[in-house]
Order: sequence, then structure tokens, then C-alpha cells
Amino acid sequence: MDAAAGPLVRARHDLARGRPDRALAALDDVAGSELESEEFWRLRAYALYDLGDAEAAVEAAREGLEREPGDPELLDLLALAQLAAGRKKQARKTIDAALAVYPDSAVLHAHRALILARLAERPLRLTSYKKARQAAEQALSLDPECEPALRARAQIAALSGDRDADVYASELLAFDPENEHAHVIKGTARANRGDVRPALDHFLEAARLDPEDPHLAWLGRRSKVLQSRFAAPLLFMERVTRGHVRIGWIAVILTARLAHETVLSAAAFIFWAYMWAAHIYIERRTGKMPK
Amino acid sequence: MSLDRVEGLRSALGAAPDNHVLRLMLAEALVDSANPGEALAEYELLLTKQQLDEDGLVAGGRAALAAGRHDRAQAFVDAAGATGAVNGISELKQELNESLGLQQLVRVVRTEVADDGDSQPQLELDSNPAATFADVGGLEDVKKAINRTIILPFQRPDLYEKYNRSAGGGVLLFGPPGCGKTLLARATAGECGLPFSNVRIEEILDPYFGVSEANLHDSFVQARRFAPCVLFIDELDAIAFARRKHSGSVGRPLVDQLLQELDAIGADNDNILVLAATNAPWDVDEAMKRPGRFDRIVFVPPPDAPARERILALQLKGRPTSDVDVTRIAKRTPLFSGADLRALVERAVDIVIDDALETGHERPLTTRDLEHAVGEMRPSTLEWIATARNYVEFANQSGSYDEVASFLMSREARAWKDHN
Repeated sequence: MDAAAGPLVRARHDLARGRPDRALAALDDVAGSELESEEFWRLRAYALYDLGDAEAAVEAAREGLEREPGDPELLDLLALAQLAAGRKKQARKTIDAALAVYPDSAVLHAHRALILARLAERPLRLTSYKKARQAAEQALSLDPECEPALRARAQIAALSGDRDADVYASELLAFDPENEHAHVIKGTARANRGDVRPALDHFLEAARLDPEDPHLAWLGRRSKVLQSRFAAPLLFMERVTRGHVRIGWIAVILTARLAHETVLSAAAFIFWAYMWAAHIYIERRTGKMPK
Repeated sequence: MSLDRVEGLRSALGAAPDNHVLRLMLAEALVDSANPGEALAEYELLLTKQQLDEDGLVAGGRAALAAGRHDRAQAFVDAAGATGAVNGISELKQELNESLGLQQLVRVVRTEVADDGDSQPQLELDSNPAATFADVGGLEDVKKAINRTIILPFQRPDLYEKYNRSAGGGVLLFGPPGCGKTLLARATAGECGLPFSNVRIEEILDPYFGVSEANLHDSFVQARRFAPCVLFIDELDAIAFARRKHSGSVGRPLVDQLLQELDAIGADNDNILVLAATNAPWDVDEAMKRPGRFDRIVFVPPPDAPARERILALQLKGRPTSDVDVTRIAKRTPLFSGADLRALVERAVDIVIDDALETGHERPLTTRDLEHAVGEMRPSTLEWIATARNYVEFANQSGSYDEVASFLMSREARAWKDHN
């Protein structure tokens, strides 16, 4: 046996098995003419994107595109990296440019849907996910079994509070029951409908499937703490917003004052103290949400 | 005082010659009174009557070495090996080899590729001296587990035959990086004196379809040819990755191939010891962990305080030092891996060199230099431990990470958690 694998082969292998850190380490060993290859920059861009370094991924994808202009995979990756870096408008331009060349790509349409969904979120304006939904449907019309398209549709539905989100998430889970993202979407959809306990079970399942993801681990930990005896009575509050809680408190305080109800005041105070204790308990057990 | 004690013990033994405890005490007293020859005679008597435990066998071997009786020292080493003893035996063997001026070498399986493309595997002596358990600081439980599973079946084949237990099988070592997994594998080969075949992902992977699987198959064929043999797979997670996590279908046949090789379909894996190491056991396909493949899964934790002391002492050996308090440094370096401790000593040495260049005075390394270096370093195992904590919390339904869970409950691991 001779040493067959060069660093590019190793990096490709590591990326496919979900170890972008190792892939990046392998790419550090690349030397000579391979450094100028489109393959090197493509792998580097994917590894950086998977590791969450969106800015560096954008740069690497651009380098790749300089060597292979119009490559649909690289254009797609560039758009996603731009979106992750917060450059939503650039992301849209990139994905539209890719779709102009490859209009029949379901994956590109699915990713366009995600970009449109993020573009729809604007402060002080009513958010409409109509365009995003249309893009997701277009992706599914091209390939009904396209996983990114199924995922985009479910994600957009969960974001927009669509009642069908639960159904879409179930379809996604039927496609791959061990897809941690599908469990998060399903959990979000159930939580939006007020089914908090099953939602927490889905978040826990997502954390079980990929404990290495710090966000999923945080979500799982929070779900576990919320299911504990001490915090469980507060679960109903997951269904309401902070505004609802504040209005509720003002109503209780006013009622207690006006009616001179000592028992009600005492009960409200005890519940208020319990809520604070539970809040501190949850925060201490869960820790800060990862950035 | 010591001579009085020896005389007292002799008189007592005269009255009760079959009292083995007294005889052992006499042997120890003779060693203390710098009389290894007579001590050896007492140890020999106890050995004949099979009344020596692990420590006694090591002490007997040391007495034989001190008395210049290498043949007898070897007899104590052999007797210790037959009992499955681990503690101190490697060190004794190393002392015996050193006093004889011998250097143990490992035979490694290497493949030469001829000009016509034909490859011919052959056994070669490795240029580096063999590592033994004496070179691995701490990890006593891990060494015992490896001894029981891998080394003993070759030292006591009679015992294993009696219970119809064949030699061979797989042991998977996992733990944070830099904690001695690869060194343990090399030490295992050194301890049992078997040929060593190292399988590396770089040698297996090939961009052409089917070639990676063929390469993997070849490495097992070679190991079988030279059986009994230790086959070591480093970074098992890179070859036997969890198929669930793999995004493409190209890599999957490689996992299937390894499963086939471990199950030895159409081949005989008796006397092939498969030892594997990984930093990411959660990335290893679950099928690998089933009985018959990797029978034993051993957690190699970061060294504890006594092990860190030994590692520091090993690292400081041969360097100019002045009363270095290794116990104090060991206490200040919880969760430091062996590699971290090596880096720590290097950094402290750099401080001394800088000082020497500045002042022109070449002073020895002190505890203060090491403490200064400790202040600048953090253990490299923290990231691994944070990931492991999540796996223990969310993905330990089958109990695969119970050992890790126990470790995470240890004072040292919790101290860092609170610190962060």
C-alpha cells in the first residue's frame, strides 16, 4: 500500500463525514499547484461555512468562482455564506444569478426561498413570507423529494406561524427521522400551536441526535430544565409573549389594590417570587445561549 | 537498627519457617540493609512456593538485578507476566534491558511497492526503540484492561484454551487528544513483542472507486499473514464513521469493508489483535461497537495528579533542574493532557533560555519557571470535555459514555466547569 490520499482527498472525505475542522486541517497541508485549483477553494469554502466562519467562506467561495466562473455549487454556497454573514441583499443577487443560469435546480430555488424569508423580516413592517413560500413551492414542483426544499418549506411555515408547519415538518421527518433540524422545526411548529410538552420532546430529540451542535445542546438543556418539576408549572408561559405576562401582572395588581384583597396580593407576591426563583434556576441550569 | 531487625526476623523464621509473611518481611529488610543477594534467596523461596503477589514479584526482580543475577530477574519478570500483573513490571523489564545493554525493537509490517506495481509486505525492525507501558505515565486501569484483553492471551495461552477463549479481538481506545492513546498502542506492541501494523487513513483513502476498500482489505490480509500481530487503526472515526452522519454514499463501502474484515468473512482473525484509537467515539459507526468487533471500549482520560507527576518527572529527566516540586505543579495542572505537560515543560525551558540570554547566567529550571508557564496555559482537553459533556447529557441512553460521565463528576473536571 502506498500513501494514496492527498490532502484534497482527505478533506473531501472529512467534509462528507461532517468533520469540517479536520477538513480544514487537511487543507492546510495542500501545497504547490493544488493551491490554485478550484477544488481547493470549494472545499475550503464548504469547511469554513460549516464551521460558522461565514466571512471567510464568502472569500473562499469567491476565490473558487474566479477559477470556475458560473459554478452552480459555488454560487449556491456563496449565497448561503453571504446570508449567514448578514448580507441578505447580496445573497439574493447571487442566488438569482445562479438561477438565471440553472433555472431548473430545485436546491437553488429552495435556498432562494430561505433567503427571501430572511429578507422578509424587516423592523416596523408587516412581514410577508408569500414570496418565500412561492419559491419553496417552485423548488418542490421541480423535485418533490428535494430535502432542502422540504426543509425550506417547513422552516418558512414555522417562522410565519403557518398552521401547516406541523404537517410539513412531519413530511420532512418521514423523509429522514434522524434529521435534527426537522425535529427543531417540528418542535417550533408544535410550540407555536401551544403544544409545549411535545415541542420540548422534539427539541430534546434534536439535541440527542447532534449534541455536538452548541445551539442544539443549549435547546435540549433548556427543554430538560423546563420539564423539571420545579419549572414545569411555568410551561404555560411558553405559549404567551412577555407583553401578555406584563398585562396579566398589571391586571392582578390593580384588582388586588382596588378590591383590597390581601389574600390575592399575597398569592400574587408568592407566585411572583416563585417565578423569579424559577427564572434564576432555569438560567443557571441552562447557561447562556451560544452566539 | 536494620541489622537488628534482620536478626529478629531470622530468629522468628527459625521458629516458624513456613510463615511466608515473615519471610517476605525478612526479604524486604535485607533489601533495606543493602543485602540484595540474601534478599534474592528469600524471594526465590517465596517464588517457588508461589507466595509472591504483584509487588513481591517486582521487588524480587529488583533484588535480582541489584545482585547482578539477570537470569533470576528474568524469571521474576516471566512469573509476573504469567499472573497478568501490570504495575511495575514494565519498569522492571526496562531496567533489566538497560542493565543488559539491550534495546527492544518492534517489528513493523511494511509494504514495498516494486517498479512493476507489485507490492510485497515484509517485517522490518522499527528504527525507534519499542515503547512499553513504563513509558506511559499513569493510566493504570487502562493498562490492566489492555493486558487482560491483548497481552495475557499470548502469555498464558493455556489458561485461555482451557476456557475456550480465543486470543484476538478488538479494543477501542477513546479520549481527549494528547492523552496517550497512540503511545498506548505502540506500548502494547512493545509489551507483547508482536509485529505491529499501523493503518492510517492517509494510506487507505484513494480517489478512485473501490481502491480505498481494497487498501483496507490488503492491510488486514498482511496482518493475517504475520499473525499473531497487532493491527492498529489510528483515527478510527475517519474510517469507520457513523453512516448516519455521512452526507454522501461514496464513503459508505469503506465502513462496510471494515465491518467485513472485523467479522472475518471467509478469513481467520484469530491471533489478530485490532487496536483502534479515536478522539470522537460519537462519530464511530455504532455497528463497530457490537460484540465480536471492538469488544472492549476503553476510555483514556486526561492523566490524574499522580500520573501528571510521573509525566512531568519523565519530561524533566535529563534537563538541568533545581529542586523542582513536581507534586505542586501536578496539582496546578488539572485536565492537562500528556502533550500539554510536554508543552508546559518546553515553555518553562524557553523562559530559562531567555533568562540565560539576557543575563548570561545559565541557571537550572525551577518550580517557579514551571509555575509561570502554567499561568500562561490552559488545558487543550477543555473543548473535548465540553463536547463529551453534551453527549453524556443527551446521547448516553445505551450507557456507552458511563465512564466519561464518571470522569466528568470528578473534582478536577467539575472545577474547570465552575471556572468556566
